[in-house]
Amino acid sequence: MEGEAPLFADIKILENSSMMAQHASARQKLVSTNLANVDTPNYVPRDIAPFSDFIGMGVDLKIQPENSRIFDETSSESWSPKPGLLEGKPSGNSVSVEEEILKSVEIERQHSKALAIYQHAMDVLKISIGRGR
Amino acid sequence: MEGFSGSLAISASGMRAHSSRLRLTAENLANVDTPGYRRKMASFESETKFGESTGLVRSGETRLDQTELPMKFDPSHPMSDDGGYVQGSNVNLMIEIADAREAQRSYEVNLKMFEQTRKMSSELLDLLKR
Repeated sequence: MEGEAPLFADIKILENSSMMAQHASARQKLVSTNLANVDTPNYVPRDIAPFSDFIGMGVDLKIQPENSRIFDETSSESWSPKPGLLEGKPSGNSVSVEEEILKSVEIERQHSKALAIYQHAMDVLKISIGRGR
Repeated sequence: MEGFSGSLAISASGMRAHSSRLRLTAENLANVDTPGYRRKMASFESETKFGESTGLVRSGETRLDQTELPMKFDPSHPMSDDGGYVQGSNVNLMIEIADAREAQRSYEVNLKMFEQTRKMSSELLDLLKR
């Protein structure tokens, strides 16, 4: 069957959507950590880059919170939060609750989007093998 | 899936830390008129395991506020000293109320995160049910 594009050999859409859900879960963990430490002195919030930055990099990426980077004002990363939102509190903590909540909404939407894509891809596969829904 | 249980544990640790903070505030408020009472306070710290941060938060050691206790002149008080002065407590009601409100808000934020994580994981489980 070489040369043809077999349908089931490499189902990219399932792979990508499950990676998208994994990314959402890893990012949700970091946002939870940031919000749990909202009153911890000298805590610097952590984040991972958005999923759109990961998707172009190929499949061998590992989305783990351990790979997270600390984004502070001095870092020269291409992706960093707006400096205006990071005004430090007297305790040295720079978590912005507003920004974290916005992030969590974005994560929730991304997660349900990923699950919907996965589910629909599965439905298509099921229909194609004649099982219907 | 283990990412979700991690998030849930972290949010729960945040809620625990804030409820212990609220407890200290309640103790301070209850003792606002206790002679010689020093205000209790605790600082939050990130939990670490083998030198690595786990993301969990906990309430640190309870410390006493070392500011000077106010002296009140009241010779009829049973605890007054030779000069007729009684030691008050250094609890400031305004600070305690503000602290309690802040603890409440932070608790709410953690609760919201907990609910959202739970919703996401139950959506994930729904995929298996079909």
